[in-house]
Amino acid sequence: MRSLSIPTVCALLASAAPASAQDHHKPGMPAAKPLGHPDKKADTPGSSHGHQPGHGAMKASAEQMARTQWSAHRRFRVAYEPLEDPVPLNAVHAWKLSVTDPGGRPVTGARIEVDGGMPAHDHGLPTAPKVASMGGGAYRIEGMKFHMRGAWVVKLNIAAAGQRDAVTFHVMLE
Amino acid sequence: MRPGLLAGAGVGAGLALAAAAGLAQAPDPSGAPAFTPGEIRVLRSLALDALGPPPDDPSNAYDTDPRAARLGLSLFLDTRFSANGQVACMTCHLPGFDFQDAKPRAQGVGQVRRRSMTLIGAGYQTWLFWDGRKDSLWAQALAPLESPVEHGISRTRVADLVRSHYRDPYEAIFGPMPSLPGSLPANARPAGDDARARQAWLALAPEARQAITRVYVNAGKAIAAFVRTIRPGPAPFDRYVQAVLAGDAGRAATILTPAQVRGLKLFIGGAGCTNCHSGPLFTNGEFHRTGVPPRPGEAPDRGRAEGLPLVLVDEFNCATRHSDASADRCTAIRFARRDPAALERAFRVPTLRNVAVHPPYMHAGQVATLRDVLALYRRASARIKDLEHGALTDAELADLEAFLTSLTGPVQSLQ
Repeated sequence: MRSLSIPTVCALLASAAPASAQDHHKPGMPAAKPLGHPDKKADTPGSSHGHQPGHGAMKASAEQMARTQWSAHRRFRVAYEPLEDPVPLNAVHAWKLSVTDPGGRPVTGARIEVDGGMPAHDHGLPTAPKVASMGGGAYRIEGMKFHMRGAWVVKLNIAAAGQRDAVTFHVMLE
Repeated sequence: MRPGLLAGAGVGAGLALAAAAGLAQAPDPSGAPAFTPGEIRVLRSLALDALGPPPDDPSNAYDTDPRAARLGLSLFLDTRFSANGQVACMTCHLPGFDFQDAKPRAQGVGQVRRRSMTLIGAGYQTWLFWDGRKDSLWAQALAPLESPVEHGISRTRVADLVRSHYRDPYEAIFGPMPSLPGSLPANARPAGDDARARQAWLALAPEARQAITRVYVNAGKAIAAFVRTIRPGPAPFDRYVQAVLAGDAGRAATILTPAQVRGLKLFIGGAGCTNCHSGPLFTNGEFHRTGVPPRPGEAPDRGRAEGLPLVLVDEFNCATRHSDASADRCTAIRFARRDPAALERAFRVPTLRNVAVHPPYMHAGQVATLRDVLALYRRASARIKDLEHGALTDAELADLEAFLTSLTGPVQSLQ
């Protein structure tokens, strides 16, 4: 389990930005790459710090905001459901996850690590959430917390059955 | 228990000023200041009506016991709990002054390195102290007692005083007082900063050490039960939100001045203040690095980077045997980040309730006025993403400052 450093958020942002990440998929490329230090910070023209409430909004597309996503290399299909809905501001809460393979079969025994943060603010999650298996491809993330309004990303590094991949969710805290 | 009302002189003056300024203004001829649905949602989330009772502290089985709060208040005010007989909790957390002092840095029996924090709404906080080195109010309350520069005593002295002066109320709450040695060493404690005190501590039998610590911990739990009753009362801002939500523009215009309303709009909008100052206590309770310079000539304070490793191994954290919580309820510790480096020089976001009447500011009182704080944050906008807000004009800073004066209200507590 690790939380996110500033360069990590940028790397994460870079990896999350293209909506068609799967198109660039190179077979055999390690999915959960070492978290590198980009030479310079990702330029974020979408991050409007103008005179608007909801400051810091980095526009994610409706597709990116969806609660079901493919992992970057389409090895896993992952859906989340916050146990408090809408996702609460500044309160520790839990998420339910379901992980399936490309054939729609539940992925059991996965090791899942939670990473994330606010790309527009250069910081990670305020907590280090923990993931427990509930069986049948269901998992529970405990200790989720978003302490600021605005655009967050949650990245799950998943290792199961000899495969590794990462899925990114975009979450907007209103 | 019925919390009484304690209003400090500074608070009263702040209210009078705000009221006078408000009455001087004619209602906005164009009608209600327009708030978007998003802004209305934020206003509602900031108003005192959104503040429920403080959350139960699972690590303190006595936190809602009115008898514990009553005993805690007595301990809070008792200067016998200090090396020089002149320092109590109230020395730095003055009742009648919003449970804070006016000094840049706290002064107990010696010089403390950080500013006293207000206790307004302390019962809502997950982490205590500027660096979050405690995870409960009771663990927080104990730390100054054994600090050589605050109360300057040790747990043996605390146990002795409780036995001598508070035995009856103690036993009514916590049950029979454990058997303590007839004569207790005046200064004996386990921390490593005072070799003689540690030697004296280790010379005590294990059962005696356990009994002394039990009484000490319960004293902390009683103080916490009192501190939990310290809550903000309605400020002009809260009355303004009520009027806005009721659609009563005329009444709203008598509560905040146009400058305060402009400041409010900036606060919840372009200035980005609610990034960190969210919720009815105007704090998210988390740690942010805002680039506040250290006091001149001093090394930077590491803040949360120092506090995080401390709370994880703290003798009195939620996961220890002194806590009344099962381990799974120790949410703060369980899900705490383990990478202090990312939190270098970050400090806990303080409440902005009554902030205008309590200069100086920041963790070492190194910023003299609210205007200076706002100017500092304006300068930091380009560097610190959490503070980014574009270019604010001097007039806008003045509006923000005017808005902050609308957060001053009476503070309630058991008395």
